[in-house]
Formats: sequence, structure tokens, C-alpha cells
Amino acid sequence: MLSARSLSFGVAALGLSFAIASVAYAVDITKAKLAPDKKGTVADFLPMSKFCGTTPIKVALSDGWGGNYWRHITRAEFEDEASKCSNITETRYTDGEFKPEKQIADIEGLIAQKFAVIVTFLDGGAAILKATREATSAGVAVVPYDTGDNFPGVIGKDYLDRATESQAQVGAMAAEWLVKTLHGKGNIIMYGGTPGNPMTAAQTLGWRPVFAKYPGIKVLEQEPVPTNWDPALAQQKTAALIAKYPKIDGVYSETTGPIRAFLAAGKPLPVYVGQSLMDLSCLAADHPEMKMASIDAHTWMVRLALRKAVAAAEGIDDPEPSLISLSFTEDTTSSDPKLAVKCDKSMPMDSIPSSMLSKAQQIKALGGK
Amino acid sequence: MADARIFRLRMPRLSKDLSEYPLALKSFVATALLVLIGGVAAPSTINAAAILSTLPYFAILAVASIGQHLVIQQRGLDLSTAGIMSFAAVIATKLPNGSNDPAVVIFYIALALAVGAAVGAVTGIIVALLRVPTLVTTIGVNAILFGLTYFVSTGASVQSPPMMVSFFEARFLQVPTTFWLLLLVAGLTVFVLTRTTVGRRFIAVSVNPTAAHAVGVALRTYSIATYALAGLMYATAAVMLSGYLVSPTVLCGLPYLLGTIAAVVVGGNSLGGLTKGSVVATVIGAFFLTYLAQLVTALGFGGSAEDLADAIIVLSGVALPELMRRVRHA
Repeated sequence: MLSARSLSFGVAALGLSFAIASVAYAVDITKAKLAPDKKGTVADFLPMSKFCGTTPIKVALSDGWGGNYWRHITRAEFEDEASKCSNITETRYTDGEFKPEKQIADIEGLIAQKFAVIVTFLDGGAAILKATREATSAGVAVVPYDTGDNFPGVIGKDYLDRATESQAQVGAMAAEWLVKTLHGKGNIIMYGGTPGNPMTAAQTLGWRPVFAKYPGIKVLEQEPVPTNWDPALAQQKTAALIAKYPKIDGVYSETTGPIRAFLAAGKPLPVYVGQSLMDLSCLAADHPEMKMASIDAHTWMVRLALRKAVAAAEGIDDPEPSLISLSFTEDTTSSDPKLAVKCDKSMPMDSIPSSMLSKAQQIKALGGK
Repeated sequence: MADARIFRLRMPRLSKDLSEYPLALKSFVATALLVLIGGVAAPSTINAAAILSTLPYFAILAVASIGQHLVIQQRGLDLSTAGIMSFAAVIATKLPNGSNDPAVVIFYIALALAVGAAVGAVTGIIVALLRVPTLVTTIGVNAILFGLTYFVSTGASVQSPPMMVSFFEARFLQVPTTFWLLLLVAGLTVFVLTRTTVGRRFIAVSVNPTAAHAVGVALRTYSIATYALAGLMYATAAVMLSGYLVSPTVLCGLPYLLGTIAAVVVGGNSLGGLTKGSVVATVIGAFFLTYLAQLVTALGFGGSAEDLADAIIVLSGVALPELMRRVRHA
């Protein structure tokens, strides 16, 4: 016979479990529409305030490696964007130190500590999907950024969405600018990062067909020159290439090492397309005869990822594009004042003109006061 | 017996056992051979402009390698080269904060050199007095220094003071200042090692520590001083690197870890010590490696093929003299 006591206990237990279940992850994160296949540009971005929601949540950035200026500025952009929502109670940053097992452990720790949102840079590639899958099935909104073209993983299962640029588009854009500025004729050297890395590989797929259309353009090295993104190595290799090729007319490089090699050798600077960096801007400002274009360094991509993830966690749709086409930040061959060289010698040479942070915020991110 | 005599009759000039030739000469011959082959395979690498462009990289590697050479001579192995170089580079570049005041720039350069020597001394004390194996000590010191480097620089690299840049990018009598600095450092080191009592004692300690101890040489003091001097060399190389690169990154010292060891080995020095060794051979070894890097780039090997080519050529350079010695004795 059910006594009144046991009955009331039963009802209380049932009620408690319902309450817990409803509070834990009140929102089904897969319900929000995040437009993962939509393409667009920075102009299509919406303000963070549209996606804040009301439920208090904790957000985290799991980085694969935090050790350089680009990562510091990206982190600051993430923290800046998160500060725009008063219901975000904590922003955390974890550094995987280039070790996949550490990044996996970081993400698992964040799940255990009940973070509702994880945006992440997957340096470890597909190896980290194990952790992001775990997070997604635990109800955490995971959105990786800068995954590049054709990143493995099932949307909805391994992560909710990814916010990324297309490196193939970057390669094509750089190639087209070089061709235009060289008037279809010249010798070009394309630099890459670590040997075989996917970013350089994707860029190559972008620029090869463009150059192939112009018989007057000659790409001097079969494969992009590997530099490990180390400006010193790039500078050293360029010294050898300058000796090897009497005429180098155009260069694509993500570091400024090659420019220094040309300067050290006393050779005229080639036409140059690179990634937005204050060092590059000031080199161009110091050498007005140099023709330079810089492509957006997209440190703001993490903001888009955060908006997507927070929207999902709060059950709000985010119609912004997920696949972003980058544009030029500077172009010395253009008369558009928005593309003027942005050198500011009071800023650290590692700061990034295309960043969405204020100058003061960038200085702080790079360790200054 | 009869065979040996016939051999000698045929090649009278090579009558000595190869191992009796001075290290420097053997190192020079190996390098000359590489340059010869390189000149045929990629003629663009041996014109004046090409050689002049490799000199700064050669000089920086050579100065750091001299430090490594001293440690290896004392039967040690210094795996903190990268850490000391990166930390010294940060001190010399970030702390002056772009100042144009010569006093400030020179102060921080001197500080970087002093820190290099001090770190080396600490390593030496841990190895010589606390008897912690050199490999373990230097790996630990390296990790601490990288941590400190990140702490001071917060990961961002800084531009070297303009004064430093103009000095290290300049040329004196058409030759880069970094090269003149190398000549100065190498010359001083060779002079001290061969013409001073201190230097002779150092060689005695490397060749036969037991005998040296028996004649009253303070082994531990020499050990500590060796690491301190090596630290000073790495810091000097780091200052040169910062000036030449203009914007040294936090990890700028990394390539010099194995590079310096390779230079010592390619020079023909024994990793186990117990031989006289030759600083000149190490410096020539550094040139071998620097020229090889240029050659491999000029030959157009991509990424991984480059590493393979590097490895094969270095192995040949080291194995060839040994092979020839065995052939002679067979």
C-alpha cells in the first residue's frame, strides 16, 4: 500500500528530475539554424547583441596553440565579442601547445566544467573531432573557425557549424592581383608554410588555374617554397632564390622575410601580395615605389564563430554566412582611400591592420600597456 | 707489408694516415668538394652576390657553433642553445623599445650578453657541482628560457632598434659586418685556446681530464667557465641574428639547436671529446651547412626532399673520411 510519505517522495523526485533536466541544457542546440553553407563577406555580419539571448552561459576558446601575435589578437577579438553580452558569465581560453592530446583534454575539461559554448582552432585537424563530437553530444555548442576548405566532420554531429574563409579563394585572389599588376607578364614566386600543410595546398589549388590562363606569367618554383611561416627561413631561402633567378617580378608570401632579403641584396622590390600585418604596411610606407596588396588576416573570424555558437546555445537562428570571402585590406595600386597603406609606427610591428580591435586593444593583446 | 709499400709508392703524397691530417684541413677539403659539386650543379650559388648573401647566416651559425664546440670539447652537449638565443634576442629587441639612443641600445645588448653568460654559468654549476647530466640540465634550462622568453615577449616579436639593424645589415669593405664579427670572435677563441695558458689548460681538460686534474687544473672551474662562455657565444649570435632579421620571432633560436651540433660534427670533431678538436674546423662546418642550405634551395627541392638531401649530404660528409680511413687500412 503506498503511504502518503512514499507517494510524496516519489512526486518530489519526479519533479526534481524534470527541473534538473530542463535547466541543464534547456536548449536543443541543434535546433538553431546557422546557415552552414551560406557564403558571404564581412559586410553581411550582424551585431553580437542580436544573439546574446538571456540564459546565463559560459563560453570558451580552445586554441591549438597560442604562441604568436595572430593568436593573441584572435583571443582578444574573442574576449571583446563575448564582453558584448551581459549574460556571458565567464570567458575561458585554453592553449593546446600544438599537442593534439592536450587540446582534446582541454575540450573535455570544458565539457566537465559545463561550458555551453566552445569555439576552437583545430590545429590538430581531424584528430580533435573526437573531442568536439563528445562536446556536441553533451549539448555544448561547438563552432570551429578557420578550418579552411573541405574540413572533415559532419555538421550537427562533430560540430554545429564552422566559420571559415576559403584558402583557395585567397590563392586565386592573390594570383589575380599579381597578374593584373604585372600586366600579364612576369616571373612569380609563391611561398608556403610548413611542407604539405592544408592551407598552402588549398591556396595552390586556387592560384594554379589562374596563372595557367596567362602564358606570359611564369611561376618559378614547381611547388610553393616552404618556409614554415618563419620569416628568418623565408629570408634565407629568398637570398638563395635571388641568386638563382636574375628576374623575380612578383611574390606571394605570408611573412615579410622575402622583402628583407630583397632589401639586403640591394635588389628592386618585386610586386608583393601578402597578409595584413603592420610590419608589411610600414615596409610599404618606407618604400613607396613598392607595389603591395595585403589580404585580410581574418583574426575576426572567431567573432563569427562565437556569434554562431552563442545563438545555438540560446536557441536563436543566426542567418549570417559561414563561408566568408576575404577582401584586400590595402592595395597600393588602387585609388580607393579605404585601401590605403595603414602604417602606424606607434603600433607594434606585429599588430594587424585588418583586425576589428581598437588600437589600444591590440596593443594590450600584444603585451603592451 | 709488401702491399702497403706498393700503395705508398703509388700515392706518395698521401703517405700519412688520414686521421693524422689536421681537422681543419679535412673539413676544408670536404667543404671545397661540396662547393665544387654545387658550383657545377647550380652555378648561381657560387657567384659573388650569392656567397655574400650567405655570409650573415654563416656568421651567425658559426658564432653559435663555437659555443657548442666548447661544450662538446668538455664532453657535454648543450641543448639550451635555442632557449638562450631566443631569450637574448628578446632582451636585445623588446626591452630597448625601439629607442634610438646608442647608450640604451648598447646597454641592452650588453645585458643580453651578460644574461647569456649567466645562464651558461648556472648550467655549468648544475653540471659540474651538482653532477646532473648535461643533457638533462640543458634541456631543463632550455625549457625555462623559452618560458621566460614568452613571458617577456608575450609571444609577439618586436623590431630591433634601428641602430642595431643598420649596424648588422651594413657592409664594411663590401663584406657584411656579421662576417667581420665572426672573424673577430673565432680569431680570439683560437688565439686564447692555442696561445694562452688558460687555453692550453682547457685543451688539457678536454683531452685528458685525469691528467689535467693531476697537474692541478681546477676541472670544475673550467667546466663552469665553458658553459658560461658558450652562453656568451649564443647570446652574441642572437644579437647578430636580431640585427640582421630586423624582427626576430620568439622561436628564432630553434634552428640553431641542431644546427650548431651539426656544424661541430661536420667539422670532424668527436662528440665524445677526449680530442684536441678544432674551432676552425667547426667554423668551416658551419659554412658547409649554410652553403648546403642555399644549394638545396637553388636546386629546387621542395619541402621534404630538401630535408632528405640535407641529411644524405651531411651523413656523407661525416662518413666519407671514416670510410676512406677504413679503405686505407683494409
